[in-house]
Amino acid sequence: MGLLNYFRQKSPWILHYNTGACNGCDIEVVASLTPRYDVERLGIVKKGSPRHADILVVTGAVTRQSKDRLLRIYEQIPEPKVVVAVGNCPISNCVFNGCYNVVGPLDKHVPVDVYVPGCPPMPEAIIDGVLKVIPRLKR
Amino acid sequence: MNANEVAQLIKRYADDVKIAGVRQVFATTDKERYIEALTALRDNDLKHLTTITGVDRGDSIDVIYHIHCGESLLNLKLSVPKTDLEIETVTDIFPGATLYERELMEMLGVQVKGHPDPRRLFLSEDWPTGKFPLRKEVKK
Repeated sequence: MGLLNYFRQKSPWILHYNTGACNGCDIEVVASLTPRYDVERLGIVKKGSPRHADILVVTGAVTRQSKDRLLRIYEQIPEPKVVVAVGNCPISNCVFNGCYNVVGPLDKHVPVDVYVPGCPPMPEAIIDGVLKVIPRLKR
Repeated sequence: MNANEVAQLIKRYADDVKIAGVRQVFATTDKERYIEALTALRDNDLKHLTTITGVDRGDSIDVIYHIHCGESLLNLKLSVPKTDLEIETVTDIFPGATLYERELMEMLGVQVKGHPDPRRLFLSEDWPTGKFPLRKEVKK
């Protein structure tokens, strides 16, 4: 295992993108950063730029307006990259299925590595999903 | 203004005035009188247009003006046939109607004449023109 690979597994940086969520999942993602769950003890840092990120965390049903932005963000993340779908919406569109502006599910547009179901999922579940996806960052 | 007073005021401009409960008034107006009706309401100090909703009824589209009257709520219905989907703007009476009318235009295809800012409101940038998502014919 190379040095870069080693450090990437020790400290993967995540980018959180909301493709049209109701904010329920976003609150849970943010809750996992708070001192109670504190993902930074696992080396996970939430970043603002896709160019710094290893893991893309997507919440919300993919809407027509956000689809191109999502692809743009996904393409900007350097390899190796993985995608975590948080909540029922990116997995199956959930209650938004059949809406005129929803073009999901997420795996129609980008390859998804881990699905975290729930409406919204608990912070523990999101952290577990992110931890499960870390071994996939191995090049 | 309570429901009875609102009904008295709107009677001249609308048919089918119905008082449902103590706080709800329903009325149906037409294309000739609705501007007068809304002006009269505004002049009687009912200055809050809560929202405008549009309902697709098949052959026509109902445009419902919901006006907050203090103690009561007036739902003033205007039926627009799909063959002649054009109404006058009410932004000169209630400036807050700007957004509601923009929504009507993009979601149901109602032409609002004289609107100061007829851009799109919610739909995505690549949405095809001439497709109105809240119309009945959109659903297969």
